[in-house]
Parts: sequence; structure tokens; C-alpha cells
Amino acid sequence: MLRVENLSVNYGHVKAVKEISFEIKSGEIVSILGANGAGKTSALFGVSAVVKSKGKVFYKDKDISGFTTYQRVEKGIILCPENRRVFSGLSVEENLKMGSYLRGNYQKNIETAYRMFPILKERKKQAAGSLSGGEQQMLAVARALMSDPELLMLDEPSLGLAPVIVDQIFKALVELKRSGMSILLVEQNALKSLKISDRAYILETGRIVHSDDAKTLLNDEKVKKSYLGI
Amino acid sequence: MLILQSIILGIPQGALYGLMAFGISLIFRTVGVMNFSHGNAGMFSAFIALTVFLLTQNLLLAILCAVIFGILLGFLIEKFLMRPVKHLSHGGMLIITLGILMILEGLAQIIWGVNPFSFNELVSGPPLMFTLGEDGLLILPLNDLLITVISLGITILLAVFLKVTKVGIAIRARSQDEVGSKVVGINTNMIDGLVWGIGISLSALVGVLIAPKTTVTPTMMMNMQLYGFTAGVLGGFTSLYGSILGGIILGILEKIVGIYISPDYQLTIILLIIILMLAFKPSGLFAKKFEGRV
Ligand SMILES: Nc1ncnc2c1ncn2[C@@H]1O[C@H](COP(=O)(O)OP(=O)(O)OP(=O)(O)O)[C@@H](O)[C@H]1O
Ligand SMILES: [Mg+2]
Repeated sequence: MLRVENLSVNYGHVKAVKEISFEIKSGEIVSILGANGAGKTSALFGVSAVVKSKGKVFYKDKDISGFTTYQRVEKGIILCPENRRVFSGLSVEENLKMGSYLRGNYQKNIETAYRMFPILKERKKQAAGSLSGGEQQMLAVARALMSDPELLMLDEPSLGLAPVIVDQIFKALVELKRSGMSILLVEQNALKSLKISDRAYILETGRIVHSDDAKTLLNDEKVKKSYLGI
Repeated sequence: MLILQSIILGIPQGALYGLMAFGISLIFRTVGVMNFSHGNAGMFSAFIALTVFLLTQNLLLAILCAVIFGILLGFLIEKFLMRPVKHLSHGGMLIITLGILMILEGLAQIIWGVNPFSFNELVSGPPLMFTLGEDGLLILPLNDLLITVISLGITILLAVFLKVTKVGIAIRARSQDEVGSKVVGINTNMIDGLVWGIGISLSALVGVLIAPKTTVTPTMMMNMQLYGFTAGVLGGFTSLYGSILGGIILGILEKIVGIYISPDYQLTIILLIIILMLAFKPSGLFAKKFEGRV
């Protein structure tokens, strides 16, 4: 589905991502794990072309390295970014409308979104900035789903959410996978994300230091201790 | 009676300040740069209108050409001057707008010289007069009435465009979160170009509408730039409706100062308003919560 070769992301002199290669097969959930500052967000930004990067990105065997962010969105590569990035002055409804700006059937998908997060329906006329942090996170996830992603990339979707809601989101991810969506997941909660993942990559200071099946990683005491802090 | 008359004369002038402020605010809240070349871009467009008019004697065509030129100029400024420095620094963008200000003035001087050209009003004819009471007489020039209607009409049109259309919502979205707007698939470069185009075309329109009063010269929009900026400060740069209200308040205030105190103090008062507003209510008179950047 997605194959990334030698991806590097630099911010001036800061080398955030150093020539990493990874792939996501169709229908997989793949996790990228790593400590704060490891370069997870930068890697996703590189895949989405939110920041400039070096290296090659193939999507369905097509070289999309030169594509802009919106061209990648058109293809169905959707990023739900870190820190929510909702449009605070726009209403909840307008935020969701922007979710289907390029792709996805607004009428159909908004029903699904409201079913998934009923609180958003109650708040639909309210400015997104007036929502609680958790509600904004739900809105960010819902907004990403509005565009019918083929490959959904989520950057810490459970940040600031109550455990019940986190479980709800993880359950939704499993369901989305079942419906055929491919998912790239970045999470602080390594244990939880490994449990629903097929495979995982471990990132340390911009490099992939380990990668394996999620099950294997979950049973590898050394990996768990040194990288995952479980 | 005098006060009513100053209000009536102040509104059309203020509506133009409002249009200037609307364009400056739209650009500011979307791309985050205070456009110092706004007035001169309108001035240059007014010269385009003048040239077309001298060639064709068709005023409407001339105005249309100026507005279209304004849209193009906005797109070009964004694409070739702003985009390359967009993510480097806001200071850099600011300096570039100052550069554009000077280049446009210099170009206009080279092409058209410094002697003023007169420019026709949209409508001529005797002003509307109303008698009130014993010896009260209110004068309302037709052209002023038309300017007000056009300005308010365009403001409402643009407000509706920003409120309900998909592209309009995308403009507001982009002004609030650049990364967020990128990841939903908004072409932010295109939106920025569009915003510059709309903004400059508004200044072009103001240029041709004010030209009968100021004449067409390379410095005709100096005051407009300053007053537009002040109206924006009054309205709070994050609120587009505030811009228009700020403009009208400013227009009325200016006439009242001119009539009751002295025209010499008009500019001083404007500067005083900027300083007081920035010191005590930097978010403007009508700032709403959760609107735009800053
Ligand atoms: N805009 C930027 N300018 C300069 N350096 C940056 C920028 N963004 C990130 N960095 C640096 O790049 C490195 C990787 O950052 P990144 O945000 O990708 O990490 P992360 O793995 O997502 O961390 P976290 O778990 O805290 O979200 C860090 O050292 C960070 O300081
Ligand atoms: Mg991160």
C-alpha cells in the first residue's frame, strides 16, 4: 500500500528523521513507537508532505514523492495530526465539512461521525475552540474520517482522552481495519497500540532501531524494557 | 443639523475605509502579514482604470479592468513574492510589502508622471436634498449614495461567501490552522493567492471610487492606506464585519472633527485613535471569541 524509502526530514540543522524505510501493507495496522522527540510526528509529516523531506514515497506502487499534501489527500492518504489542529473559530459542523473538502461524501459520513461521537452532534453549532480538549480530539479523528481514508495516519489520537473514549477509538480503529482501511498509528500508549497492531517500528532519535510483528514485540522482554518502557 | 450632515457625508467615506480594512484584515488573518502595499496596489489599479477610460471612454469597463487587474496583481504578489518567504519569517514578508509599496509608486511615476489626472464619478447630477424643520437642509450627493451601496453590497456578498461557500469556509479554516487545513486537503497556496487577489481587488475598487475626489496620482492612496489600517485597528483585525463598522465610525468621526474642530486635526485624531486602541483594546471594538489567528 505505502512504501517509504530513505525518508529524511530536516529542520534547518536539526535532523529529525534520518533515512528511514518502512511499509504498510493493505489492510494492516502498523504502529510507530518511540520516545518523545524520536521523530514520529516528523515522519508522518514527511509522508503527508506537510514538511519537506528527502527520500521516496510509493503509494500503490506509484511514486508520489513529488506530490503535495492535497494531492496525497486526493489519493486517500489522510493524516489526523498531533495536537488536534481543529479550526477553533469554525463550528463543529464546519470542521467536519472541511474534512470532506476533497474526498468523501459529506452527507453520508457526517451521520457515521455523529454515530461514533454523539457529543459532536450535540455541539455541532458550537465553535470548535470552545470544546473540551477531549472533545476536540474526537473532532479531529471524526474530521479525518470524513474523507474516506484509504490509508489513515493517526498521531497520538488518544492524547488527553478518558480511558473509556480511548477504548472507543481503538475499537473503532479495529473496525475500520476490518472494513479494509490501512492504518499507521503513532501512540504513547505502546501496549495498547501493539495489541491492535499487526506490526510495529521502533524509532529512536530519527532512526528505526527495531521492527517486528506486534505479537513478537509484545513478548520480547528486552525490547519492552529498553524501548517501550512497559 | 450639522452633525447629521457630517454623519451623512462620513458614511460613504467610511464605507471606503471599511473596504480597505476588509482587504487588509482578510490578508492579515489568512497569511499573517500586514500589507503595507495595499493602498498603492489600489493606486496602480486606478491608473489602469484611467488608461482604459482614456482609450475607450467607457467608465464601467475601466472599473472592471481595474478590479481584474487587482485580482491578478494579488495573485502575482502571492505567487512570486510572498510564497518563497512564507515559512521563513513574517518580518521578511512585511519588508517585501514595503518594497512593493515603493516599487508601485516609482513605476506609476515613470509611466504616468506626477501630475494629477481627473477621474469621473459614477453618477453626476444634482444631489438629493431633504428639508428638515425650519431651516434644516440635508445634502446627499448621488455618487456618495452609490459608493455606500456598492461598498456595503460587496461587504455583504463577501461575508456570505466566507460564511457559506466551501471555498469561503476553507479560507477561514486556513486562517486558523495551516497544518490542519493542509491535512484536510486544502490547497493553501491557492487559498493564499485567492485571498491576495480578493484583497487587492478591493483596494482597486476603492481606488477608482475615491479617484474623483483625490484625482489619480501616485500618492492618491496614502491616506486610504492609513485610514484603512486605522479602521482595521478599530474593528480588530480578526473580525471582518468589525472592519466595515470600524471604517464607517472612522469616516463619521473624521467629518465631525473636520467640521467642529478643524480639518487640520483629522490626521492627528486618527493617529491618536490607533495609539489608544492598541494600548487599551488591541482586539478591536467588536472582537469575537475564537475568531482567526493572534
Ligand atoms: N519545526 C521544528 N523546528 C525545529 N526542530 C523541530 C521542529 N519540529 C520538530 N523538531 C525536532 O525534531 C525532533 C523530532 O520531533 P518530532 O515532533 O517528530 O518527535 P515526536 O517523536 O513526534 O515526539 P513526541 O512524542 O513528543 O510527539 C525533535 O528533536 C524536535 O525538537
Ligand atoms: Mg509527535
